Amino acid sequence: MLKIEDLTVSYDGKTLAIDNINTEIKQGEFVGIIGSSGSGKSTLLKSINLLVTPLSGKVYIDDVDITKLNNSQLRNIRRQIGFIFQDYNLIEKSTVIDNVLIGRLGYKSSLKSFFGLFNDEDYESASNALRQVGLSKKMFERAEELSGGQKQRVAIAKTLCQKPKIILADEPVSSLDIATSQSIMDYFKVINDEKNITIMINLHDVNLAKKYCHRIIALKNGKILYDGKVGDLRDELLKELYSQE
Amino acid sequence: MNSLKNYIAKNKIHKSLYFLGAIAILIFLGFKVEFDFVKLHKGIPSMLNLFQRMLKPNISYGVEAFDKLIETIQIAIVSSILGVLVALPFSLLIADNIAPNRYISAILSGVFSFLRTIPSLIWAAILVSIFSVGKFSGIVALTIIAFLIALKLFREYIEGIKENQLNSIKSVGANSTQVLRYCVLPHILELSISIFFIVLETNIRGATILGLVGAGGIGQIMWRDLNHLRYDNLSTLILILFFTILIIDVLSLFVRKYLIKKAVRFKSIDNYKKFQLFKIFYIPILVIILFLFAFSSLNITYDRFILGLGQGKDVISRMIRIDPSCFSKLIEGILESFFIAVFATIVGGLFALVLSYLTAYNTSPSKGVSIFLKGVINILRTFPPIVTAIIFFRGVGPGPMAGAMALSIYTTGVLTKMYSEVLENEGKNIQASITTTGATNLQSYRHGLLPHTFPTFIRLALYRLESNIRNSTILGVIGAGGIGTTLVMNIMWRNWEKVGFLLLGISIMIIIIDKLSQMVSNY
Ligand SMILES: Nc1ncnc2c1ncn2[C@@H]1O[C@H](COP(=O)(O)OP(=O)(O)OP(=O)(O)O)[C@@H](O)[C@H]1O
Ligand SMILES: [Mg+2]
Repeated sequence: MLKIEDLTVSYDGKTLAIDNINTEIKQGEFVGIIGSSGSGKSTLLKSINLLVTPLSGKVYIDDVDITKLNNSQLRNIRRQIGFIFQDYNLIEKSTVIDNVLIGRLGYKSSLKSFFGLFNDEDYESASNALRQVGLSKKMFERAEELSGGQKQRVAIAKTLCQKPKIILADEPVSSLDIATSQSIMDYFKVINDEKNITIMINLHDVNLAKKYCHRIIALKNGKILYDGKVGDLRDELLKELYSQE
Repeated sequence: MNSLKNYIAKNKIHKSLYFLGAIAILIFLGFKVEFDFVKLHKGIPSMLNLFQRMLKPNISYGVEAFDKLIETIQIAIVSSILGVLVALPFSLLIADNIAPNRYISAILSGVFSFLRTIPSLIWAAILVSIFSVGKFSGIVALTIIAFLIALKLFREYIEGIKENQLNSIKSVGANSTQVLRYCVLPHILELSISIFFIVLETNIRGATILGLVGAGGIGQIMWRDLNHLRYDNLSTLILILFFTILIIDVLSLFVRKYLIKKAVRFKSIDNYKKFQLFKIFYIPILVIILFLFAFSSLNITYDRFILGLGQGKDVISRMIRIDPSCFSKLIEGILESFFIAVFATIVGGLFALVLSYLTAYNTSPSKGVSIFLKGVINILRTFPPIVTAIIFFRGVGPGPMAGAMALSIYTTGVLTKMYSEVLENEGKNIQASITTTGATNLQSYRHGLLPHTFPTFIRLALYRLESNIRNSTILGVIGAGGIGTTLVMNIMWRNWEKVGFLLLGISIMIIIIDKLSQMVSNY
């Protein structure tokens, strides 16, 4: 469902944040991306929904090359791709339900959404999503009043509301304590198991990656060092991955 | 080891050099602003006499002044509302991270930063000669100021939205209108209220002095009393103003702190949906009501307005044909304004450094001193410096010395307030970590808190310098030195070509100083 071909990204035009990456991901896979800080994990995810524009290369989603799309086509693709950030990025002063409804924006006309008009269906799917992450009670509270773990669950609910085919998560648990991290990862696992949504997740904690992911992609200096089953990951490789030289 | 000794020795030399340098500059500036201890000493009795009279206010005059007071408050409120309402859409056009068109945004920012260099009193003076005497000119002048302040605040807020926050909305497939609506606008209502009050605090001070140039408000009778040497009435007015400004400041503080936290709570999705629908109606209606209220208080006939517009066009086209024949006057005036501003910043800064140590509750020797000083600095910063200068006239006569002293007092008040807040916020951790080494309170201040916050102090002082320069350009309106005298004369005589030239000169000076102080504070 997702194919990346010769992808290269540079922010400054000189150093390559992503250096010629090729890979293919099937529907329903749970892929962990690991690598040291600055290795290009975030950049890789962001170039999959074109939040950063690649220097060269192609990104296919269901055989459509999204680097060639115009703006409105791109928005149509983006609503199929959920994106979850480390720092949640909720609208702090808005209520939880408003934050979740943002997931519906891709399906709305400008005019209706400008006036904040959502229909019954939208509210239905928002409250379902909140139920799935166990936050129905917090629906009308302001996002700023929630704890970190709860905020991340709201972000997941928002993404579920998008009805995505794939969810990209950029270190979604690195601001959270161990117990909360585990429970958030459990939500990802359930989503992956039950809805067969593809998940690509950046993790700096290799143990979490080993525990939850089927497949690991290891990045170093913008290149793929390892791409394969989690069981085949060798300790020597991890040592090399996190070594500084 | 050697290098450490060197470092210590050098450090000492540097410090004494800085200190001597500052003293030398101060003496030079004191000379330039005609500061004179003898004159000050001789003037003290009559100023004390003024204060004594102030303690016996003329209550019956207060009743007479009430109308003008209401007008002053009205001018401040109406102009703040208009300024904030108009600033919001413009801020969407010029904030770097969401601006739809880079060129439009660059052009608008340029124009606005030029307009920002012109003080409110000068706007008022110009508008009075276009639209005639009255509060309409005052409201328009302060609306311009409110607009520019609000624009800056909105813009800073919007530019503070993190890129990822915008990305998180884009990533669900939202278009740019939707990003604007859901990322920028949700906080905007509360933010507008808070900005309204910040602007109001500035404008209420501005509104009190508009009357000096005939643009309405209480300043008009203040000016009259001053010219008629009615110091008893004057002191009554000053007392009234003090309490008005105090009340507005307190109200503003209260609203910004508490009201904004309150929000409606919902029980069911149905209610919530109804509320969203309701919002579509009540927000536009609210905006319309605010506009209607604002316009209804603009007491100007349509014909006069049209006439004014024609004259305005005329004035602008004459201003553009600048006449540099008053070049020497410009340089002389600008230098004097500049000296007054620098003098006030240094004097105010020195006082503020000492006073904030005594004021911040965590460094102050006793709670009583801290509370007392907090009261005092709030009094100091209540009055626009131009009003304080009027009080000094009584002692030292008109001229730059009165202006410089008035501005110094105002700077002391504002800077002490801001810096003591910094000390209080930063204080807790640092002080604890140093006091645990067994140092006394003063030692821990001297070696921990002070060096740690000193760069902030310098930044605040530079910021004051910018604002002092703006203030010192208007002191001349009442004859307290600087470029203002020449400027207002030329506005009165309608020498628009010269006015254009003078304004250009002032703008250039202010922009240069802004840039310089930016460089210093980044460095
Ligand atoms: N917005 C940006 N502008 C310029 N350079 C950037 C930007 N974002 C990332 N980079 C650079 O691109 C490279 C890859 O960064 P990226 O954020 O993808 O790494 P990462 O693996 O996600 O690191 P971390 O684990 O610290 O989040 C780094 O060298 C970084 O300095
Ligand atoms: Mg990252």
